[in-house]
Amino acid sequence: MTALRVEHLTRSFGAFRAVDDVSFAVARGEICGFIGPNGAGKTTTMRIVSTLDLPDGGDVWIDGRSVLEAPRFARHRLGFMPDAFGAYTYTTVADYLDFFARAYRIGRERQATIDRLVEFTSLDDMLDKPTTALSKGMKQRLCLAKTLLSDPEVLILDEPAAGLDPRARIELRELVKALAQMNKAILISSHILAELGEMCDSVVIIEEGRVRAHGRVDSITETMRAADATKVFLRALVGPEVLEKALLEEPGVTTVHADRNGVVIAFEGDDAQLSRLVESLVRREMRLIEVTPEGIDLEDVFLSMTEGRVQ
Amino acid sequence: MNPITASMGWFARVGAPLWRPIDERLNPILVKEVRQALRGKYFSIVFWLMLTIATVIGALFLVSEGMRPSVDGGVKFFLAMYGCLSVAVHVFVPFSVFLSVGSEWEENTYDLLVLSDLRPRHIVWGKLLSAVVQMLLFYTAFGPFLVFAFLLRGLDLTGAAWILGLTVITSTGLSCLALCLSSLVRHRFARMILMALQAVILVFACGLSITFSFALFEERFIHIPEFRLAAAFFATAFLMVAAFAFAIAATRFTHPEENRSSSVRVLTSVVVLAGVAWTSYLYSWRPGSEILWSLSITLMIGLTVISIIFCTEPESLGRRVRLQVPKSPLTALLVAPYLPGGSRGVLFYWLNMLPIVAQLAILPRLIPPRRPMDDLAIAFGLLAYLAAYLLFPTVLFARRHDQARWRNIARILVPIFAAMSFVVPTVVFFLFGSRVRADHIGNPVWTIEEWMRKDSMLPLMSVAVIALIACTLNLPRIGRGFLELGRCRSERVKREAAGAPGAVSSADDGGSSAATGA
Repeated sequence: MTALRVEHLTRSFGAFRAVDDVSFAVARGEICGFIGPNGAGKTTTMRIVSTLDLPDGGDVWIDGRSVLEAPRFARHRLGFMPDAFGAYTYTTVADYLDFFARAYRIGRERQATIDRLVEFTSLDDMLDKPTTALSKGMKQRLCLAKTLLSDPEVLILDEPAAGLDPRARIELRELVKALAQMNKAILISSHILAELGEMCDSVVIIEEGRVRAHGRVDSITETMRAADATKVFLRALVGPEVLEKALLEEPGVTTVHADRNGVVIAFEGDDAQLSRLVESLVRREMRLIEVTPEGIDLEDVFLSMTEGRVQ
Repeated sequence: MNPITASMGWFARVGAPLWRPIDERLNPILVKEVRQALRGKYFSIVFWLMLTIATVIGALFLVSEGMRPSVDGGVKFFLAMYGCLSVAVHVFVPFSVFLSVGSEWEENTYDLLVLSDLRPRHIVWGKLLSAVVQMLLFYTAFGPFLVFAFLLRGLDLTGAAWILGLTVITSTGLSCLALCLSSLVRHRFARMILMALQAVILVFACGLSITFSFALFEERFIHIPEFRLAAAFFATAFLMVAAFAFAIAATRFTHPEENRSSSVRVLTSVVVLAGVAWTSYLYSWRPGSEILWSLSITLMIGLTVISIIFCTEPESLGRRVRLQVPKSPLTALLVAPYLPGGSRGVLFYWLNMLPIVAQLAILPRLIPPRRPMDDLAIAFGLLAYLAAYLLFPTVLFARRHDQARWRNIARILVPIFAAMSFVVPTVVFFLFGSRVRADHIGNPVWTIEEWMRKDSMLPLMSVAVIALIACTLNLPRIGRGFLELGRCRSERVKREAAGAPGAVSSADDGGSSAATGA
């Protein structure tokens, strides 16, 4: 069931069009990666979805209701984690969560809810620390805990992994996966594509305010695989130079370049044709020791879909 | 942990069973702000500094009093302590509110507040309450000093109570003003300028309050009925200004698509009616005096100034407000002046001018000594000037008021137009004549004097015609405003008939009941 639907969203700042006819949807239990270069319009879109900004055109629907017409309804159902953490001075972690729990009108369940989220985000040892003294990773955890206080059905996470060390990133990824298993719709933006590739069910690729691609990660990569040449890594005992020359004479091989003590080729053909290529190389005594078709990941998709243009 | 926090913690632990039900209902912003203030350096430093200064002054006073006892030692001691208290509650407390609102923008917490269940008025109210709590903490701390002043000789308890009571009002009002000023802009440089302005206002108010308290005891006019009446009047006026400041601050925290106008319009009407009521009361108390004129003119000018904002609002209703337009045509028509939009701002202006002009027309003829009809003509003359100043510039870019730039241009044009209408003819006279002349219809004083001297009715009639033209120019946009209301009404009826989730439930009401203007 679609929890979040964005339809023909546009937003301009003077003559500059930050978001241009953006449309996509996120279902419950789905993690949707929102990818784009800096200035592509990700944060603007997320702020409009979160009712913090207004579009010039289009609309956003949360559980079937427009966020423009019913912003309070939308705010009840969504949790927005901004890229910049808002910390209060002279406020401990416990007081920070207590304040937002009160602000979300959580009554008798307030302390239980806070305890549960503190455990979920592993903030147990930090409760008495001032929020301004927390490390970046801990601030992100606290911000996530705050976002989850109202038990939102739709989560908008803007660059949650920015500035985190590898361990914190892995932990955050696990937290996001756990939230998706709780049937929450999650829209997450990040520059770390490898990480998004591991956790996202679908992606929206945006550049210059326009959606370049939108769909499930596997279907996008399949489409790309069908449309483009397959990359294959080969290593042989004869050495890269000899192998390179031999490969250029083989049918279906469009490009060859040396890489990691072997060569990477772009091969146009299916698995049967690839098998015939390997047979041919064996016959020519290339003494192959490795043949690895390289999969298409999110980075490849992103690089092929975008041109790196920054507005 | 500082001693204040420690003592508060002890009270919290001991009184937990009693405290908990109240705690659940407390404004979250109040709780947060008080916690922050008690843990922060600003409040602690100011608190202990003021107490130390008060103690030192008190000790010095007692030493000098011991050497040369005076009959009014209590008054002197009270005034010395009040000076310290006044600095704390008139300067430091409102300034802390200014900083608190500013920190919401600077520390990126504003968005988090907007996304919570807190409505704009809860946020502003919480911040104001925290200022009141800080003020009461200062009162509590200064309590023993004030009691000691009473134990000395010569202190009039009534006077002291009046001063302390008025101080509560002025400190709260200044906190409202700080809330308003701080919420106006987010740009750091503009905030610095506003901060300086705020500091000047607070220091001036503090100086004024100390001077007033000295005068109160020296002149002993506390027991004069006129003084009490004047104090009540100024307290009302001050509270009205504070309420405006509060409402403006609340609108600054409101989502742009929601109704930011209706609450301020309703408040303006309340202020106008309160002003009319006070004017009538004061006039009946001193019939034939200039009170009627001075207060009515102040109200007319004040209403015109605030209407600059209303008359330059974007003409079309926001998507959120469209859903709140009443379904009944009659109700929609009645609440139209209180809905956002420039054209409805013009209606609002006339609607609110009505009681002021009616009062000017009726009171002098009801309460003896009866005054001639000249007054009414002069009132209409002034009204014509104000209407022309307001309605010409605001209709110029009416179709472009949805863009902030054009709105601001229109707003700036109003005072410029008023000044130009006076200055330009004078300059023209100077350039093409031999001397500076101000006898032209751009000068309201000359026009009105001309009428009073019975020399000529022509200038006043000319202004009336100009105002009429300004009103006529506004008619098309008023018409468009009504048409839009009709469309919104039928749109809402259709949506509800189709069972669409367009009807705004109370749970989803964005903080203001625009449709009812409440």
